[in-house]
Amino acid sequence: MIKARLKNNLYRTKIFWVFKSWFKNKPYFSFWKYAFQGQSKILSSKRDWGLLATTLVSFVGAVAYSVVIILIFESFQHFFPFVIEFDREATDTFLAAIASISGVFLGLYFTAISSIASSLLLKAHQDVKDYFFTSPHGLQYVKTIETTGIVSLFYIITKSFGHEIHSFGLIFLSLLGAYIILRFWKVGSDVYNFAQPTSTLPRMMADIVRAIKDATPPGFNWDKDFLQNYHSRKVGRTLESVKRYVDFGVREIKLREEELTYALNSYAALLQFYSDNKKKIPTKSLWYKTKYQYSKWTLTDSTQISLALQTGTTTSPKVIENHSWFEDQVLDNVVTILQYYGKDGNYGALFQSHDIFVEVAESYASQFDVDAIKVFLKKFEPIGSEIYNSKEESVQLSKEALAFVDSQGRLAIAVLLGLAKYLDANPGDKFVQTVQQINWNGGLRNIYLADVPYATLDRLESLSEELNNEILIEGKLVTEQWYRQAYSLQRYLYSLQNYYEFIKELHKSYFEKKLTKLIAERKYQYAVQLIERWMEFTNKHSRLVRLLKKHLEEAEPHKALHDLSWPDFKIDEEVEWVDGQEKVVADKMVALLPVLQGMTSEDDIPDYFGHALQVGLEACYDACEENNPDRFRTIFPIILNASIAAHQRTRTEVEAWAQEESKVIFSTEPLVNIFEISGFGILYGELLQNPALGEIVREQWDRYLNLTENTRGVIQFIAAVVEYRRGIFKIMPQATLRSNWQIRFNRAMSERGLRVFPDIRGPFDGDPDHPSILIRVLSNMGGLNMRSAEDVFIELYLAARPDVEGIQFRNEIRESIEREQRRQREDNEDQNE
Amino acid sequence: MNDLFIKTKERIRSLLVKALLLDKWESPYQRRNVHADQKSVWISGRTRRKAYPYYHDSHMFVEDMYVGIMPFMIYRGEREKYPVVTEPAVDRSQGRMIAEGISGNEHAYFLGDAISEFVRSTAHTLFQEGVAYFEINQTRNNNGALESFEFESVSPYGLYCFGSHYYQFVSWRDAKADQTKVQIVRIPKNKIFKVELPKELTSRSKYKRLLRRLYNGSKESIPSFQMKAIEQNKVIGFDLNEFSKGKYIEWAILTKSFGWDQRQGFRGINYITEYYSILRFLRKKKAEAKVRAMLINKLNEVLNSEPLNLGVRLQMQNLVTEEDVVTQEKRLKEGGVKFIDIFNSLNK
Repeated sequence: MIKARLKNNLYRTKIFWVFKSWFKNKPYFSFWKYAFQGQSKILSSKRDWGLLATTLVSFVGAVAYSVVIILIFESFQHFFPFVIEFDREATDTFLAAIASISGVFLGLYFTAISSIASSLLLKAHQDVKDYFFTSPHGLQYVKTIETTGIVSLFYIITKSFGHEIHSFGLIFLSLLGAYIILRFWKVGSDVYNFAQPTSTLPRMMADIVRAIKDATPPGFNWDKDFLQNYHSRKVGRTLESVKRYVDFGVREIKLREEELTYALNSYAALLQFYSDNKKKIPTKSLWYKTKYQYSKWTLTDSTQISLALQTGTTTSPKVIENHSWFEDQVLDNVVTILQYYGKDGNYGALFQSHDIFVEVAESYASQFDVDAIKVFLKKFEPIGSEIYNSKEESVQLSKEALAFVDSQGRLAIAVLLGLAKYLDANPGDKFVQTVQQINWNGGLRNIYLADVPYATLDRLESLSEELNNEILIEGKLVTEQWYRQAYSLQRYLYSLQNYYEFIKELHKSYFEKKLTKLIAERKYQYAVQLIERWMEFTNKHSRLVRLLKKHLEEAEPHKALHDLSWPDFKIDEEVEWVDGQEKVVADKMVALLPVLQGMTSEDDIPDYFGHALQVGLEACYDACEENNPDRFRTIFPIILNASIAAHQRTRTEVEAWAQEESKVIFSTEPLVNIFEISGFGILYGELLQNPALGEIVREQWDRYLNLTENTRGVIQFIAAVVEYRRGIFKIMPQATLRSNWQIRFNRAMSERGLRVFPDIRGPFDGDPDHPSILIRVLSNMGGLNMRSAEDVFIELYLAARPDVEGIQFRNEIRESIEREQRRQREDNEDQNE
Repeated sequence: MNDLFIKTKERIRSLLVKALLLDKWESPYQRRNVHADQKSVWISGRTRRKAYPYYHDSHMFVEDMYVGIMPFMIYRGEREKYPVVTEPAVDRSQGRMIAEGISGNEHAYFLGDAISEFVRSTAHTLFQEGVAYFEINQTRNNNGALESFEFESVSPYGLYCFGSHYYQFVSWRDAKADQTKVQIVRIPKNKIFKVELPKELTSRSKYKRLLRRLYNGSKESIPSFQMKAIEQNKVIGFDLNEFSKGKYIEWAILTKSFGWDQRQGFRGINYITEYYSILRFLRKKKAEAKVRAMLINKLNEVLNSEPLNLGVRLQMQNLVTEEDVVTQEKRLKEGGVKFIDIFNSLNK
């Protein structure tokens, strides 16, 4: 109480504010500035020692080698003893020699630097020059030469005054002299390789990583606003320098692909590191770049308005933080390199480089960081425009471009997969458990170390501030644990929803947009590759919804505050939406079948045509099952044509096979599939009492057969194929797929109260209750087990055509129908009598 | 001789009155409509107060504490919601006499209205001054039967109790301020009843300090030096958020037992958790229930003791009790609630 009162009294005095302002800006700032500089110097010394230490192994090796040589020579004194007069002036000569070595190598080093500076560096940006001249390896080398030169000069002077030098001093000097000579090659070559990322980037990236660490707990004074600002500016400048360095390297030195890949790998590692550490940075930290935003007067609170009116000024602007400036700047650098590959037509490097960042996007997903992911997708949007717009490509280029399109698809999948992995690894109550473990009395620091998703951080910060005020007022924490958990959970679930909605949006904003562009540019092969990824995305989306449902169920008991608004996840609607989306994607693939039909396929490129056909067959079945004649009408004609084309393609492909039976079996599989689907069209039309489905089948087959030159020949061929296959006692290659359709149809019958095997009809069970005679007959037979949909198509459509006279077909279903009709007639006559 | 003595005494008295300016500021209008039985003099105490209560935060605090203490009977259905029970039952005329007496309203018909009026106005005085004194004025007929009575508020300033009497000291400053005579009024002790805030909430001295602090601390919403600095376009490092928050925290500490919310919702400030603000709301309701119960008990005590001795106890039903608040506190602690339900259950 006394503290609060004292504080309040101080707040009412001008002197307090003036003093506070002065203190913060002058002594306080200066103190921490010098403290930070001191700490940086200590770190720099450590780094110098580190640099020295890395060179010591080779140096010690060289010294040991020299010692062995010296020992060999010295051993001659024992084995071949003879005496040479020792020249007392030798020490002087040695010292002079060491001093000369220092001078010479210093000169050589600066000659190397001067030659680079006078040639390459003339065109370089100032940042590049700065980094070149402050290379820590070079500085450490110069320092060593300085020390050696000074020590040797010092010894010469002291010796001239008659001082006897200790032997250890001479040994040390000889070691330094040797070090200077041996190290020169490495340092000298570094000077010439200065523009290579492998030489420069580790140092720059280390600077950035250090700054990020300093801006997060337990970094050195991580919560000091001026240090946060300093780190932010420093990192901004360093990233700018890296960009200039790489630009310079690409432009002036023509860097190798490996060097650029190294740079991209460094950026990816940096982003990965940052995504793991971003949740430790306060959301109001000056690490984030800011901009001013003026609020509307109608939305401003009365204190602000009154202040503005009384002083004749305007309302104070709000400071808005840009939380994705870092990603923005790093990805700008990345995109520059990727665009360079694109313009160069190096699609292989482009796709490999693009792939590096797929994993990075995944790590952002686990933080629900929508803004950062948006930056990713936005920055990568223009990459590969050359592929989309290119006119002609070689086979190799085309394959590389295909791989790039595939990588683009995988980028979006990674965005989804990151969340799915997070949900898989973290149960719905994990977040509340983490919140429970936070020590709120310990201030904000504990929040940043709590390992919560980045998107929830602002809520925890505000909660922490409110709880801190509560402790000030009450002297203890009074807000119950359940409230802290529920309040934090609300933000968590909203962040989750926000991220989920973003993923949902990707169907349209990412895949559909890219697909439309590819189709417009007639890049069908790439389009179908993208659709394949889209299908995978949709499939994973479907799994994500299930994971989300489980996650939400686990979180449900912790929603202990019922008047908070909670995100409304309508899981059933989502499931329906994703199912619908799966159909949309399948239809888009089917729509591409006519163009895929004409494309040649190679072993090292996926069989897009086959894939699309199979997807189309499933889509046809789904359309029949769901009683959706519109969809069936759209895709069935395409599938019919594609199946016949697939038969012809397969026949060509298996032509060289030795076994005739295998040739027939494999080449006729597409035909059997379409017969089955046609049969199911008729069957579902009867079962669901929607004649349109059967009509579509008849209409399309009529059209196809009527357009064929030798209709009767084609029908004979079909009949022959069916009979031939019937005579083979083997499980056909795609029989399992067709069995699956059959099982689904039987289930549909069963759901409608019709008997299917093993539910066999008894003598007193009565007739199956269905208006269709075909369905009644099938039900009496125990469903589709004894007959297939193919039989239905052959007997009820093909055999019923007027132009099939003389062609032998089986007659079992038709006979059963006739029998059933006869029996019914007789029953009716009996009833009438 | 006796007359001479009386005349001399009167003369001297008159001279002293004149010389000491005892009746200089007396206005005849001051004693208008004063009950014949009334002894006390009305003084506002404005010269004695160290904090003027009708100002900024201190005013808001007092207003927030007494306004909601009783239901407003003018709204339809309120009388039925809070019926008054008397023990033993009283007839209409006696009921009306009690209603008029406790409400200070000559045309009061309903006991519920009267109790509400008494509790609200007494609570107002209590929260404004930390204590409330009332003088009981009564009218009796020739048979000594009570015809009517009233409770006249007495200013606590200059009122002292010695032995069996209260003494009201009206100083020259008071007399000048309130246009009355400089005097010392002697009032029998049983004619005065005193009401104080429950000890569990605060002591009188602490409460006075609280009001004074609220008054002094809220004179300026933005310090004048900052206003001047803005006018002169100078930056002195003043932080309005820090300033407002500092004030909020101190006020919250001071009014902890009263649960005052500082009109957080209206002012658009959000320094504490919603949970804690509901907890403070419950504390406020508890403080109200405590004060309300204490005032109704006191009222019954006064009605059933000297000089009124009415022999009747009044009880208003369905008001929020401390037990109701404790139940809600338990609900809040356990969780799985709607804050609005807690709020509605106590805002009947």
